[in-house]
Amino acid sequence: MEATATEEHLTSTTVTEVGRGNLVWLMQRVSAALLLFFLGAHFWVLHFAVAGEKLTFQGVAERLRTPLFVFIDLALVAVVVFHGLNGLLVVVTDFNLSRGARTVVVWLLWIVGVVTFLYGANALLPFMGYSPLFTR
Amino acid sequence: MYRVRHTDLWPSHYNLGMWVWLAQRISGIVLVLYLFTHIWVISFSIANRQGQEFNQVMALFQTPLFLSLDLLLLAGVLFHALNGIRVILFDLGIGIRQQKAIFWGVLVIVSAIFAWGVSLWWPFVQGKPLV
Ligand code: HEM
Repeated sequence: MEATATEEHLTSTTVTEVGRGNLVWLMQRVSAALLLFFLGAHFWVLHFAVAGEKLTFQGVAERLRTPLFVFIDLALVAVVVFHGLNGLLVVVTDFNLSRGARTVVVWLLWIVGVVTFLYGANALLPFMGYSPLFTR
Repeated sequence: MYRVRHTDLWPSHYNLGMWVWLAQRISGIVLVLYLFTHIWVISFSIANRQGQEFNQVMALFQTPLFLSLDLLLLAGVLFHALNGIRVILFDLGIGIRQQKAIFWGVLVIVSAIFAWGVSLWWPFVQGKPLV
C-alpha cells in the first residue's frame, strides 16, 4: 500500500491539474457518463445485438422510424463530439497557452463541433424520408 | 494557474498511474481522429433518399479487413471507457487507495468484453457472409 503518496499523485486528474470546480473538467465527466449510455446503445444496436448484421440504408431507415432512436442518434453525436473536443481542450490547456491563444482554440473547437453536429444531423434526414438540407 | 514540474513528466519517473493516464490521453486522441473520420465519411455518403452510396460504403466497411480493424476500435473504446469510469470513481473519492487493483480489474473487464466481441465477429472476419 502506498498510502503515503501525496494527494497530488493519487488521481490522474490532479496530475493534469485541470482543477476541481473547473467547468471544463466537470463537463468532461458529465459527458463521459452520458456517453456510457449513448455509445453503449450505439455499439449494442449496430454491432452486438445481431452479430454480423448487414448494415443497409433500408435497415437504418426502419430503425429511425422510432423517434427514440432519432433522439439517441442526435444526442450521441452532440455528446461524443463535445466530449472529444472538450478532451482536446484539456490536452491543449496542458501546454500553458496564453489567454488569447486559448480563446482562439476554444472558438475553433466550437466551430468544428457545431459544423460536425450539423453534418451528422443532416445525414439523418434522408433516413427519415426527407431530402438533406445540403450535400457534401 | 499551475506549473508542470518537468521531473514529474520525465518518463523514467512515471509510476503505473502515470502510464495509465498517458494511455487514457493517447486513446482519447486516437478516438477523436477516428470519430471525425467516421462522422464525415458517413455524412458524405448520404447524398439522397435512395441510399445507394451509403450501402456501398457500408459494404466496404463490412469486409473482413475493416471488420478486423473494428476489433482494434472496440479494444480502444473499451479501455478508454472503463478506465474513464475508474478515473471518475477516484474523483468521487471512491477507491483511490486501491487504484492499482482497480486498474487490473478494469483490464480484466476490458479483456472479457473484448473476447466476447471477438467471438461474435470472428466468423465474419474470416469471411462468413453477413446475415
Ligand atoms: C463511454 C465512453 C467514454 C468514457 C466513459 C470516457 C471517459 C473519459 C474520462 C473520464 C476522461 C477524463 C480523463 C482524465 O481526466 O484523466 C476522458 C478524457 C478524454 N476522452 Fe473520453 N470517454 C469515453 C469516450 C470517448 C470517445 C468516444 C472519445 C473520442 C471522441 C473520447 C475522447 C477523450 C479525450 C480526447 C479525452 C482527453 C484526454 C485527457 O485529458 O488526457 N472519449 N474520457
